[in-house]
Amino acid sequence: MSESLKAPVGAAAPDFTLPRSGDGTVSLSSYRGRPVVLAFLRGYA
Amino acid sequence: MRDDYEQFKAHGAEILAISAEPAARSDGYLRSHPLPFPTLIDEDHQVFDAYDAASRLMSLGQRPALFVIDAAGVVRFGDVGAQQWNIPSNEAVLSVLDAL
Repeated sequence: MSESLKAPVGAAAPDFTLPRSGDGTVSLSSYRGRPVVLAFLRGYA
Repeated sequence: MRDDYEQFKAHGAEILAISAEPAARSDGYLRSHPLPFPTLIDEDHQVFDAYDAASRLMSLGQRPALFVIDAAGVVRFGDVGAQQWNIPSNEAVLSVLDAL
């Protein structure tokens, strides 16, 4: 386990927009105002 | 994380899962194993790469990673592992949320 070099603690989280499984798209920035847990999966959840 | 989702919600947090599996495969899997939080499809690995969760020289594919981003959009916790079981415990993540 190690800290991310591209998204280190204290840095602005890189924004993104991705398709959501099922329908629509989701942008990280749309969650501004509340905390977000980003879980990158290897394979499935 | 699925099992502790209510605790995450109680902290006002949303969970976003990011999968590099092709949409067709993810959709099929999620229909039979629905998750209570959004699962986003990053087939091109652009977001994996932006968060340093893409493969390194000696590993193949993507790396499991977990980040906590605060209400202002700042990374407050980040961990990139080599294997799925390296991800931090829910208790550790909830304690990060507690401290925000």
